Amino acid sequence: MKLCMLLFFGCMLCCAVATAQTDTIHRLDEVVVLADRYVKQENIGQKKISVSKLQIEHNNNNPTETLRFNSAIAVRDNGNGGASSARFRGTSASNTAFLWNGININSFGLGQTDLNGISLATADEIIVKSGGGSIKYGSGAIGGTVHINDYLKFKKHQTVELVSSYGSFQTTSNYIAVNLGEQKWSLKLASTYHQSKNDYELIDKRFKDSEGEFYKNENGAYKNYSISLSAGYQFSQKNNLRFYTTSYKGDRLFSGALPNPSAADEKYIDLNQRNLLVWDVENYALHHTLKAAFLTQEYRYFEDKNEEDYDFGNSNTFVFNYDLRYQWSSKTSFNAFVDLQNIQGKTNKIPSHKREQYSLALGLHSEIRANWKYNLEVKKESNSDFKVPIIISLGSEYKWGHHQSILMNISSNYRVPTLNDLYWPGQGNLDLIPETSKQVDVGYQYIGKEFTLKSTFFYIHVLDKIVWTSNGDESRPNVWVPINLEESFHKGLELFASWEHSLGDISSLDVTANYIYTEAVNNETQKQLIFVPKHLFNTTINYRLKKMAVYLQNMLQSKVYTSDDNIEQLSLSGFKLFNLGCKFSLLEQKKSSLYLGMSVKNVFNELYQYSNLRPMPGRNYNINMNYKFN
Amino acid sequence: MKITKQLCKLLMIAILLVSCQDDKVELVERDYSNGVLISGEGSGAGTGSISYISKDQSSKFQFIYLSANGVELGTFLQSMAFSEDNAFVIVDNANTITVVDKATFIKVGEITTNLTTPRYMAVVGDKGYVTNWGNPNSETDDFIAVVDLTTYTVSKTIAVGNGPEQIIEKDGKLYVSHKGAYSYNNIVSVIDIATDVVTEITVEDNPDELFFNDNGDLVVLSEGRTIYNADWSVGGNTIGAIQTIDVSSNMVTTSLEFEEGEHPSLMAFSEENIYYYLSGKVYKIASNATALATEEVVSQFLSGMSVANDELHGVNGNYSEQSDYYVFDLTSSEQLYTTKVALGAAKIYFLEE
Repeated sequence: MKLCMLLFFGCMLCCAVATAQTDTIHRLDEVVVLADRYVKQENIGQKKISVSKLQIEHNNNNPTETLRFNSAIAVRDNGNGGASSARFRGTSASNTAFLWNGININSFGLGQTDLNGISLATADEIIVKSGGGSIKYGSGAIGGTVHINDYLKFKKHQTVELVSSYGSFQTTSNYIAVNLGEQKWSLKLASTYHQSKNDYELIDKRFKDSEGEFYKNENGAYKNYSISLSAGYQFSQKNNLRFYTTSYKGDRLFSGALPNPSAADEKYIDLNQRNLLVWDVENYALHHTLKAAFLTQEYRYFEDKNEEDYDFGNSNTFVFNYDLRYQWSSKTSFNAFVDLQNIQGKTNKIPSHKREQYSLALGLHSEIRANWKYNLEVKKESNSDFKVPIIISLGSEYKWGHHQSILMNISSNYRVPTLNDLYWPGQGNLDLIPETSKQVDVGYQYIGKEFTLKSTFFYIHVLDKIVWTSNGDESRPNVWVPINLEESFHKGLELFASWEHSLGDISSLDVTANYIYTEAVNNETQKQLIFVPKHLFNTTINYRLKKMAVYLQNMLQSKVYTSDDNIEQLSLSGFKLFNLGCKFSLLEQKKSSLYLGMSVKNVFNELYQYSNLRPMPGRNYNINMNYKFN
Repeated sequence: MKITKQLCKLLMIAILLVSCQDDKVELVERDYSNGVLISGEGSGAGTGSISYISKDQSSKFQFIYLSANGVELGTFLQSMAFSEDNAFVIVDNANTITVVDKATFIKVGEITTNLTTPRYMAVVGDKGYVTNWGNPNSETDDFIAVVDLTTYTVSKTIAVGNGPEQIIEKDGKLYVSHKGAYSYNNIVSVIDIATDVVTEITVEDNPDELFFNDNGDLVVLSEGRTIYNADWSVGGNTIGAIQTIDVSSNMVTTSLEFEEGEHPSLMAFSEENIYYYLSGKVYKIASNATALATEEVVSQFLSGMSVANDELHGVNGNYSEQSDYYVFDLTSSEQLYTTKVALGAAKIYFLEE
């Protein structure tokens, strides 16, 4: 294994050296207004990558697959289509904050976002930011943040985009997006629809039914729809008002595990609604951003899909925040941020509970020299449920030459206990305190014309991790309760590399790759945390020749342990996955374009699983089309 | 040229990472018929599994079903039952009973249909009687599945009250404790095997463990329950008790009641003594005792226990890693042995030739 590692790093190095000889990048900035400026422009010293619309499309607009194949996040689902959680650097799923246009959408009950319970199809961009330095996003951003952003363009435009795909297991994914705009106003209307019977063969050769056939993934069907609208009005170049709204309904069954998948009969419904109003004004040296949001989330869990009874939980969240930036000089700006939140949540077993939180963050952006920037942020939150520590983030970026820079970030962060942690009947624990973390990131970046390398070493110390355990309460043995139990250390290396090369007008090639090495160790046992792969690697190669484009996606994950004591019998083997796709342009005119494509997923029919005895789909096929007109 | 080089490098990385993988389990055939079997329920960390410890504790084998068959059981392994030649492994979430050779644990058959949340099984001749919760939330779909052990099929079902749990047989009658699945219950069902007639005996709330004492009386442990208010605050408790039932009249003859708020969870019987577990302590009383014990014989957190030859065997189930297994000498209260056993260890079975 050591030898493997050595060879592996050797190769990575070769790659980096061989391609790091390129020139400056010149891209035209479009007149785009992001709902969330902070992560893109103001956060210094941390590794950020963006996942494009094309990459989302390559993965059939499936959020779980999109992050798996395009980021360094470990995404684990409970069978294809089941509950799906995302973890940065071996931290827990509740340490990954999902932000929709800058608003945290992690659930109040569980503190995390289920990737199979959201839709990304209508998003224009996903930004994946590793590390705990985004302190404005507060609770849950220990490991990193995933930003789902919608663009609004303030220029004359009109496009309609229609994307549809159909494939194995009666899986279909569709969306339509209409973008309209003028200098003064902009509108985006989008809707998605996904459905799958999801009855793929469970290709574990050890398990066959009485006829000698593979078992099928029973009770795995899902369908979900969403509709969203973004609208903006620009009073002047420096004064605009935007409104975003989206509704999602997901309806899925939870499939069974081997050896008897027919035993499954659970059903789960997600209902989410989010609204956000943003007012952005720039006035001389002052930049004000006002946001007001109202979010509702609800789940319904049917233990038996044939019965009427279900368990439910819902929450209503009001968010109001004000962000003020003062440009003191050409080099220095100050920032003040006030955030008020009111969350009300309940389940059929937990009576309604209200949490109020107020926070104030202060920031300074400045530079020591023209090529040496830094920012310092401090945040204090006051929360009606517990004491929350003051958190800080210090980031710095030192550039030399045109392409190279050193990044550094030191930060602390926290995660507050969830509604379930505190109030689950008979089990919740009111004595819980927030999890806290301290983190250091040191990175090197090379951003050239064709080649980009982003690398960062990380070190995280997480304290008072909330763990549900059957031995948590001495007076009540065998009752599962959450306690502030674990302390863990996470260290490793994250790499992102991309290379794009065009050969005249007729063909181009681009390659992107992510790699993360993670040692996430429980301080008491010195064992690797469960479900944390040491190696995670993915790459996409796109090649375009005239009217044809092909892509290859590859993903590798090393073995993960599933038990705290890291015993071999309770582990899931590592695997490699390859997806292959191509598309042809049938129509390419000024007014309209049409692509037809097809893809083969899991080309080598590899048996792989993220949860015990829940094999993921074997080789499967898909045809898709993308039609745009204006 | 340059492109090809890059692609080759990427491919090399891929191949390297992938070639660093582990090998599969090798099948082994051993004799597990003389020792202790510990069944673990399993959890999200791994499926149900069975550990074996030889009688003299000189050898221990984990994952014996996996070693014998190359495949895992499902989750959660609720209990096991035994016939002359076979062992029956009941996995409730998978609605499955796996039949294995008792000595080697090599699979000989399985029952995967007509079971809904199966819990425990009693073997009587060539029939198995399996308690089933049905949908655990429903109080009206519970049943006993009668399994033909020559064909491994469910030949018929007998409807019973909510949440049937443990089941034992004596003189042509089945005795079933009704712990009540996800809600609660307070009955013991008596089923006449010849006629399927079901009679109910009322006991204290949440009866679970039961056995016959040397007098031929049925002894039942009822855990009692915690009552919650509408807002899920604790509103009170019903009492737990060890009750003795005269099966000729189906009347409760003695009732040893626990203090309010005390909920005993385990009970074992050996050589005319009853052993019960309450909040981290094991107590011992004679089977004709008229009062509960005041002093414990062993102090240890347990989630499963069995008693034989003046030794207490206990497990403290851990659902995120291997569990602890203990053996105590009941005369001296000393711990004789401890080791790690199955994930989510819950039940202990003594097998002797």
